[in-house]
Amino acid sequence: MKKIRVSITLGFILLLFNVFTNSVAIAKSGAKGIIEKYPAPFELKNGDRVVFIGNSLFENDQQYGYLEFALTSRWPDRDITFRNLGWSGDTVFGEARSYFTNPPSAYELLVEQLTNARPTIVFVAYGGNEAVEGEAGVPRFSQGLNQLLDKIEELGARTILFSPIPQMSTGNPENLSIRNKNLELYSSAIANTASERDLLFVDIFKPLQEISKNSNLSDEGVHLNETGYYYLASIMEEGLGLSPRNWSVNINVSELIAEATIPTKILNSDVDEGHIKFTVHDEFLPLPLPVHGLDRSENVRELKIRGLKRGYYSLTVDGAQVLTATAKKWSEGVEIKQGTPFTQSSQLRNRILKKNELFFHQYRPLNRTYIIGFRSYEQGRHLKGLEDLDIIIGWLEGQIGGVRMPKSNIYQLTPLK
Amino acid sequence: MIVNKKFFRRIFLFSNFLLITSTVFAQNDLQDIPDPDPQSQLEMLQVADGFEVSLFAADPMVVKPIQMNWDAEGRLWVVSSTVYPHLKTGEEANDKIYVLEDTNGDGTADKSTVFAEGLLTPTGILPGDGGVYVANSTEILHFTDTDGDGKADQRRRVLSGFGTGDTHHLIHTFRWGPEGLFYFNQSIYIYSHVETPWGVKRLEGGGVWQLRPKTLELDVYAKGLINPWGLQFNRWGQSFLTDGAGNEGINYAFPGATFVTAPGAQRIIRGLNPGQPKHSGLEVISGRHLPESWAGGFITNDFRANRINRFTVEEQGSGYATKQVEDLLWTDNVAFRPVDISIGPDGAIYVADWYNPIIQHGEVDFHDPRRDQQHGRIWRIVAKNRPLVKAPKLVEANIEELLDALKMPEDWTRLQAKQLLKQRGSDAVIQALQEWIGDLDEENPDYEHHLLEALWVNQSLDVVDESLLFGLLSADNHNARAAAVRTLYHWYDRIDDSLTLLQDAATDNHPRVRLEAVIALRKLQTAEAASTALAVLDHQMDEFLDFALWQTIRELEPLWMASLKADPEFLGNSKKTVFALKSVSNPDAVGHLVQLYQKGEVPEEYRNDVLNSIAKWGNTGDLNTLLDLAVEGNSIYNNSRAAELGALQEAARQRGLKPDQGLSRIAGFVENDEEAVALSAVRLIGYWNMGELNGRLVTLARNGDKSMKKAALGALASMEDSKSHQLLIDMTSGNYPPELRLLAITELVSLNVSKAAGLTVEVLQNLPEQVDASGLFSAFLSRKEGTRALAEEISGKKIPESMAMLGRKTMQQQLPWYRHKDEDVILLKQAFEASGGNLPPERMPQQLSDQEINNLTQEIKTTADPELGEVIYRKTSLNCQTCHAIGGAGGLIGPDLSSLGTSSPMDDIIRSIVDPNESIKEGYELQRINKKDGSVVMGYPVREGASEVVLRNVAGQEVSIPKSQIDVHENVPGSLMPPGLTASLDREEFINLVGYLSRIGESGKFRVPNAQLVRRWSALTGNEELISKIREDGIDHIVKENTKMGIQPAYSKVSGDLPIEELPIIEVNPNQRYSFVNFEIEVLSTGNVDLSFNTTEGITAWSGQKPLDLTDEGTVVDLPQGVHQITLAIDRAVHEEGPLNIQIQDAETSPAQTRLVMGK
Repeated sequence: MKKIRVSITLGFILLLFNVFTNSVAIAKSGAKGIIEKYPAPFELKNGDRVVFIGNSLFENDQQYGYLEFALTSRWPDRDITFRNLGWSGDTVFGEARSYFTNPPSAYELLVEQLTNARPTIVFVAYGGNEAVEGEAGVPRFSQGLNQLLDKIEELGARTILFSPIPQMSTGNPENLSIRNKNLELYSSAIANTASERDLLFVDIFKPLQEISKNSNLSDEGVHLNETGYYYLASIMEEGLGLSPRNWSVNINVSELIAEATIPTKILNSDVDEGHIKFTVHDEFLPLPLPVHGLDRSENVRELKIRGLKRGYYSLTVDGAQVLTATAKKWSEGVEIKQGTPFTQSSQLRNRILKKNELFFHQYRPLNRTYIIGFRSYEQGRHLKGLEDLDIIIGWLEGQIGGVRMPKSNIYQLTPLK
Repeated sequence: MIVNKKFFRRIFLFSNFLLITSTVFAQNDLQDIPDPDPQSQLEMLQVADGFEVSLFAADPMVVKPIQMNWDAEGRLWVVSSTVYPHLKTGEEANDKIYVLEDTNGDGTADKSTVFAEGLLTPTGILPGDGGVYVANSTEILHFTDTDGDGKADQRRRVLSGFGTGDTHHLIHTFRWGPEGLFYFNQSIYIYSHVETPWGVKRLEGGGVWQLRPKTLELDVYAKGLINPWGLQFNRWGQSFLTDGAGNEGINYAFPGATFVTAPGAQRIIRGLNPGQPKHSGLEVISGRHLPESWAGGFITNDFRANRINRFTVEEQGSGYATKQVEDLLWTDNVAFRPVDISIGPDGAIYVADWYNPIIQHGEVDFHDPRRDQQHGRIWRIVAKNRPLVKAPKLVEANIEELLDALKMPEDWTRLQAKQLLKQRGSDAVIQALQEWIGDLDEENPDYEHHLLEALWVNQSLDVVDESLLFGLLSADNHNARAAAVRTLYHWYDRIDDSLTLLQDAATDNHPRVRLEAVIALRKLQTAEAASTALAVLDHQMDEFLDFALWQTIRELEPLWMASLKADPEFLGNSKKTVFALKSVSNPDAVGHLVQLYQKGEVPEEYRNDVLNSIAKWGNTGDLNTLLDLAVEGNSIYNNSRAAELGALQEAARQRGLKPDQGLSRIAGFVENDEEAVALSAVRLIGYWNMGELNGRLVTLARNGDKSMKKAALGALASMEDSKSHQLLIDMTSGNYPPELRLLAITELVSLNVSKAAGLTVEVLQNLPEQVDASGLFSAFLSRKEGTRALAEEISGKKIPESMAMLGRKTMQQQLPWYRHKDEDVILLKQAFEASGGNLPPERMPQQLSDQEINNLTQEIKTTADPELGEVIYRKTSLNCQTCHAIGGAGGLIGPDLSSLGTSSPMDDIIRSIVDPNESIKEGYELQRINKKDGSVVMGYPVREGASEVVLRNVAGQEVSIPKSQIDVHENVPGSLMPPGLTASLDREEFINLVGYLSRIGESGKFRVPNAQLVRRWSALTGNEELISKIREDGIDHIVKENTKMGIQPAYSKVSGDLPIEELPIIEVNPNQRYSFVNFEIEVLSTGNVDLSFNTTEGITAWSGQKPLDLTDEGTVVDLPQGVHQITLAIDRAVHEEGPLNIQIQDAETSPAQTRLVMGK
């Protein structure tokens, strides 16, 4: 049998931009600080240190790693480091950082932690807890937020503001609607502050509320679950003006033409035998899928192969079996949810999680009282142990760097005999 | 999230070498470690007569148990941590949950399953809701086993945001309440901020949380305590707490109860047993297996002293009185650390033994090799010759059988049945429950308890049954009524007329029902609720009712305050109005209070509180009224002038506020016969800046006695005009007697520190030796710039050696340790030393290396005589008893030492004596307040109000500092205990002292007996005047009113014996030599008090002024409620030496409930 080797490189035929302008607010007036205006789209540079500060919205991401994953994988050639300073119950006044020892006061500790993290970019997510105060609390909240933003400016870092997330359930619906009205109120207060200070604001409230109508984003109504964080990562990317992660590769076996949104190269193809082998080079790794899957199409990687004879065809990626479908299905398009890119994603995510766990133990150590608190004269020697975590954290950051770069993967379709 | 295992192995290989470089351990003496073999430990356990202890489970079936709870199948769930107290750098935590089963019913666990692992310092466990709740550091998890393989396969985070500042304080003590709510505790260093669907819930410091798991409604149930490691409910749903670091035994808790150490608490309630050991775990005795006489009592673990205590309980007013009785179990095995205690399904007592020779958290290195990280035991204690309970098979039971289980006497059975009924759901249960209630036998003595259990089932299912509630609200049994009011507290917004129901409850004839009503009323959030609650004042009050009413009134303040403005009679009579107004921190309230005070409508018992409120919140007009009343005298209130002037003084001191009319009238009181009035008047002249009276002040300073001199000079210093200051400075000149000059300079320190320092040298050079200059040194040392100024003046000059020594000693005693290395302090030390002010040479070296401490430890073990050591401890020159109590008697500045020996390794005891700053007990966190005037106050926190902070200073006095005067208020490291206290001992004495200290708490004569023994005494030191009066009147004279006599504290030995030979002798004539002592006893409920004496020969006794009839055994005296003083005259011809021992026993007929007055 004669093998026809045709190599077609089609590069980007189409790049889908899907920027939701309504969730990006870049205000024009009232420029206050020395911070230069954001280039659009948002971009992180080599050497950037991203700090997340806020309430449980950020703290809880340490269980899933989606926000950090999204930003890490987006610029795989750049060394960007992350520190998550989210704290359950926190407010712009750092209330949840209160402690037996004073000084530092709760707010002083917030500032100290922020400063020690040496940020170049700070993601700020407050307002969810303050919103209990309702309309009466808005002026105080805005004042506190501005005080914090002044501090971030003083540190020479840029700020990205997040709205709070909606509440999804409570014991009674009446409470829920009041609660969400208040959350929206604080969301607008944050948007106003962003506008006044010419800062990037990401409204996550409305998109999450929309998705929550059909998807279970929270187990108890107030905190996002894994699925929730998956969507949050995508909403953040949209909000920052970043391109979506979906791609499609469309190959006609008989015509040997690939139309693709990412670099795709057909290595060989045999119409009669029904073989086709091609490489896909991801621009960035896919977001790992949540354990419970997704209820809607998001970041879809679609493979459409037309021109196959009737029958079942199996797809392998880098030699590993991924899925089997009929020729008809293949011609209609199949969503790829497995394979080496996903394995690599989950590797990357695990390293991020481990790194964040160690950082958590470092900046919020168990037995803080005795190691860095007012009884440190007793166990202060263990401070060294906390400092040593820097070495492991740094090493893990190296490990993250080693796994975040996507590879060119070999996709191969073979008929099932 | 499952993470790649291989990847981790690489991390840990990498991090292992870090451990080697980063950990430095003190390799202390390891010889005390007992044999970890369970059998040899068992042989050392001693158990009360009629009981038997056996091993239920031991490592490796269970290791390091922290908490345990039973499930409905009778399995014991145990939470365990081997990484406690602290994860090593890079170490992966893998703590576990064990499930222990005794499948063949032989009393020994034969099956152990690891249900879940991968946890980080888990400290609480509670089976329920189809799985198990676990405290995992900052979060509560719920694990379930969905495939029935006995291991968890699902993990859900229920709540998070709990503080982790200290791993032995993490959330703990998980319990189901009788009504199906989930309770858990946290300790002092934990600051929690928990986001719930109902908003953020915050609890800073110790306390008890209450959670409805289904809706995640989370509330703070009680606040405070240091390590509240025990929580349990009695048969009627009342709650009790124990504390692992406080020392007040059993604490009675209710919603809103606030205990010691709660941050910002203006008011706290006390435990029921001041001076009792510290405890972990708590169980209320129930069930047919244990003796009937034990039912309802408490068992709890004194883990420091390796024993299990038992308490009996009686109702006392709205609360309870508990009394320690003989121990259930004790041992000299120092690794026996009972931390949890629970009665099992079979009615036997199970004890979780954490098994560790080391229990200190911060004081001993986290990674000290003596810390045990691999053993653990569960012990089982049964009553001999009493049948065990045959536990019903609840899991397989149908609903009717589960309902019938609610009639069982065992708390375990009823609790588990309710859990299972909750799981079956209201659809399946409610109908059957109605029928069950209908079939109950009304004649059964437990009928109302059965109804209460039914009510609790409704609560667990969140179904309101109005008629059941109404029935119980009018039950015959007050316990049932009180419990029903608690249910109403939860259902207040779901019942039509809660207010009417609570009106009835607030006037119930039992105080506990009234207490519950007062608590429930605060939920209503109406003004009427406040006036309803105040109705309890028409009946007998007690400390719990008074506290709860105060809290309710404060919570409802804006509501009733508005109504009171419209209608002055709104709250009822003036007593109620005064109670309400004096309870709040609000200037508006004071206007009303002043009017009522003026009209003479303030009841006597509230008078001090009212004056206090006026001092704190009154405006100028209020102060004018008060001044008028004080000046004119008041026919309504007798002897009130001193208190009124005192209030004016406080207003001026705290807030700089004064009356503005007729101030000069105060001058008429400066020579008042009543000393307190005269002194207040003089101080007010200063505070009110009445320069025109400065001539009078000079006269008083020159002619008055020492306290008047001080007050007058102080008044001159607090004036603002230079003329008055000049008058003060004039009195520092050589024209005046040295004593006056000294006092004048002391006052000048606050005004002009450098001038005062300049004058000091010359005065010291000319001061007669008998004049005490320590007050002057203190004045300099209490301000930062004072030390430097004094040092600079004294440097290079010569002062008398005695003065230099006094100065050096004052520094040693007064300056906190962290100041000792400051430049100014070193400079001053050098200056004193240059004049010969050296501290006495150390006979016992106070700087000891680890090796030296090691050698000492060995020597103490082999040669120390603890009895001689006790004598040294009791020497007044060492001052031990001034600051430390044993069995509650002694100073309250430092920790109670009742179980020191069994909780601290010997080397730690040595270290904390020579360097007291090395280890600090919780609750003894030193605070520093820098005042705006530059002075510094150091002390331990007592309480914190809206306008003031109260600290206990080094002298044991409570000092109140107005918040308006505070510049910085912070916790600082260190101790008030001065280092070097034992420098004057020789080595042998030191060895005996430590030998004694390290035995305190061990069984034998160095363990505080459980009996109620008189431990705190006052001994008369006497004076010439007293002796001549006794000669005239006979020894009866000493109990007469207004007798002037010197007194000094005296304390019993650990055993309870007061050594008569240590008491001062008052020699009336050569044939009449006496020692006089007295002690105080608080009678909580009127009745007979049985005082049992070891000897009555040669002893005469009085209760108050009334002579007591003494038999050979002692006496029985009928005493009314209140504090009574018992005085004894001991004829020293009969008792040259020997012990005196008085025990309070239950009188045979109508016994009173009593509490001995403890403390310094």
